Amino acid sequence: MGSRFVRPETVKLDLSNGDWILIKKRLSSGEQRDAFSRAYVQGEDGKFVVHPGRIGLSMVSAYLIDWSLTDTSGEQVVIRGESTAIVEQMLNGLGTEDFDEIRIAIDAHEQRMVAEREAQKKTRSGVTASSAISALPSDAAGVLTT
Amino acid sequence: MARAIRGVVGRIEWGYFAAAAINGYTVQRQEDGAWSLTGTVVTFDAFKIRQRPLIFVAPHQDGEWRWPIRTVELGDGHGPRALSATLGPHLPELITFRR
Repeated sequence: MGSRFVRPETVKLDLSNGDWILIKKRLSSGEQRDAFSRAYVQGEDGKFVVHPGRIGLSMVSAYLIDWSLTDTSGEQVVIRGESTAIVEQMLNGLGTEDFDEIRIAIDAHEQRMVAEREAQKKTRSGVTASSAISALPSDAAGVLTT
Repeated sequence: MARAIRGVVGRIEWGYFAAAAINGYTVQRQEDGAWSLTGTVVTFDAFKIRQRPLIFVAPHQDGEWRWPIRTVELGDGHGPRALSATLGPHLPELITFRR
């Protein structure tokens, strides 16, 4: 069985018009918790509730490392190495359809990774089930003779 | 006499993760051609700093100088810690043209 720790692997996803995004292959538990926490806001009653407008944004900013997107003057908009807050400000500057294209691409990637891990779990559990088969009663020498 | 590169802000990366933030560093080329790094680590991630490969990144006006880290040692205690590392050959410079 491989390591349970998340390695910093990346995946490049193609967008329309020749653009691309570079994203994390998988979030660590800490990154996922941070993303969830950014999607919550404190209501007037003090309780934390999910802010609908931040769900997609927090996950996109958690995954996004780099992209090819350019500003109106044709200069690449640098996000690599920037803080999550800065990346979210850049994302907020995108057109709605363009943000949705990125969000959908990342959602699809996340679903592929979940399916991949589920398949791996099934393979692993299959191996475990095989090795857990009991020995034949005839092999239990001594027990049947009492 | 070995030439030294001194800077203030630096960092150590494990892939896209930040493994450590450095405030004040010196990179020096030794007579045998190897590079050494000394400095002060102000924050670090206890898990990520133990992973490999690690890269030392020294940002400058138009990009970043980068070296692979071969060995790294952190001082004991709380708060800022002394950093001592040996570095591999200088990696291609990353130009970001941040203006």
